[in-house]
Amino acid sequence: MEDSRIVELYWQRSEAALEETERKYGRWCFSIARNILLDDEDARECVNDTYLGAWNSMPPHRPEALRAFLGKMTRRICLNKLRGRHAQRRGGGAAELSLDELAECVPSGRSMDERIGAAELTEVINSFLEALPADERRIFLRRYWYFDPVGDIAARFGYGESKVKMKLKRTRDKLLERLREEDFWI
Amino acid sequence: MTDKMAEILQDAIGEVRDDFVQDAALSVPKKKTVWMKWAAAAACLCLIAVGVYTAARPGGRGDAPDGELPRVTVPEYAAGSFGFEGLMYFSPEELENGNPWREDTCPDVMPVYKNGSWDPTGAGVPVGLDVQEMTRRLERAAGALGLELLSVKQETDAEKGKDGAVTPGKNVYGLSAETDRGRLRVLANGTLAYEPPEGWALPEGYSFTYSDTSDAQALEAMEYLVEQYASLLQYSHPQICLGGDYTFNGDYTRRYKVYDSAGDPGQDVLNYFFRSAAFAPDDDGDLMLIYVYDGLAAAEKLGDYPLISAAQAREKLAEGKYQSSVPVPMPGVGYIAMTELVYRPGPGEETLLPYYRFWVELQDGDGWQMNRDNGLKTYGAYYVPALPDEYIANMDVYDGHFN
Repeated sequence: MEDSRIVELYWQRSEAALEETERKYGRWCFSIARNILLDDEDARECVNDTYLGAWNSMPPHRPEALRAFLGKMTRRICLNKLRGRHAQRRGGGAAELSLDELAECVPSGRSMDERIGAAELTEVINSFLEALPADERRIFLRRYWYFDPVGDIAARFGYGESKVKMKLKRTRDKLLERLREEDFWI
Repeated sequence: MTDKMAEILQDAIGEVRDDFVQDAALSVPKKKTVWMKWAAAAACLCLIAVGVYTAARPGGRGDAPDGELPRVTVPEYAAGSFGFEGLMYFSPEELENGNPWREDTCPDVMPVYKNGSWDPTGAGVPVGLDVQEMTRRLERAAGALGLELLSVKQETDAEKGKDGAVTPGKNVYGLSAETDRGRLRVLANGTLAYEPPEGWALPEGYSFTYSDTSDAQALEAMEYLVEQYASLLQYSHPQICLGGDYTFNGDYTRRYKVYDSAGDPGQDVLNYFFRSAAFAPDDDGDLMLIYVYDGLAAAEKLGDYPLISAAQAREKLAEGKYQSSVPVPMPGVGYIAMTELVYRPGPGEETLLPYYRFWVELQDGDGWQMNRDNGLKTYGAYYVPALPDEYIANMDVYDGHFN
């Protein structure tokens, strides 16, 4: 079923919207959740929370890109759940490892200027990503949006793991420099 | 402190542009090209032979079998990354969708186009027509409907400056007009949408809903609507297509579609896929939206290409030479429920070419329940390009990996 029709079903408050969402995007949302939480049961619970979130947000939202809308919702729910776990610093999952890697983009001993909003930070990152070569951007997002393990990224792009790690490191360094230029850190 | 900052970064990355997210999803794993190794080897031999022949023939092109038609690159099947293309029905007869193609009247050649509305980012942003052409279409539609244009706004990507101010971007992907009777919209991919104010009620006695309308009532309602909006559609021989599919619990959801029947088998197929209209009801059974599609508005014809037969395509299907998003193994040609000649319109296809689409009755497996307890069966879509191998430059075969 086309996305526009699925969104219309939400607006009509038809439960068929949830069934169609599960059929078309259930596996995709589950793969995102599983990458973050490393647990099938927790992942399924978060995917169900995604469906509830979608039901509560349409209307008023009418997303043009339903796939990205649902994926972002799943990611947010899963990260909140992960951070709520007191065992966040154990497990070594991709989400936790990527957090350690992203910490390199934060200068030591610095914090973010509280006057800067989350939306503004995202816009800078959008601008940063837009300027990257497509390959570099995709690898970056597969790691820090989708939380793919490095090995999976290597297989996806046909690279060795060392090459992927090197590319990610270079991109993180560029991001650090860009955030410094924007005076985000105080 | 660093952890907290890293979490803030992690969250901000999560909200980046949708087209970036979807583009990264499109970066699918390296796929098997087993069958193309065979076909490529054969094509190489053909090329060598053709090259020798065309070298002696003035004006010949060594890179195409007949010296005129370019080889076609079959687009990657985008649906494979996002979900699987399947429909549920109680019986295969319900797959009938109004596609005018029939095996016994199949044309020998069909056109292939370069898709001017292809969006390489995968975000589905309409592209193709310029502002001048969109304006012309908007004004024509308004005139046909007897609407007064009160305001026209250009729809663009938004850009946000460092000061936080949002300004229009450079890419105009649509025109949106407020009229004295509803909203009219033209998109750069050739789609026109008309939204009457607060729903347009059909006369008493008509039933026009997604789920509570019989076949006879649906036909009656569509005949009425097509007549009412004839000036907008401008179809000389409107052909109504009714159909739909079921949800998991057996509720039927209808489609209301019409295209212009040209009386020619090949042109009818093109009109069915690229020049059609859809009517959408609201909760009260009133008309909520009309979509008029023109999927070839910005297309460039590459040529008329010969077709393989449906039987030849079935052989390729049996040999695993197909594109599909179905996450379970193809159960076998014995499970083919319906065959049709199709095009795949939309922004995800760089080239618009004909395919044979096989609807195959799927079997349970790998955690998927394809046969529901209520009797519904799931039919998965499998695509085989309808062109002979020598006209195909490259095609990747779906290896069954689900994202």
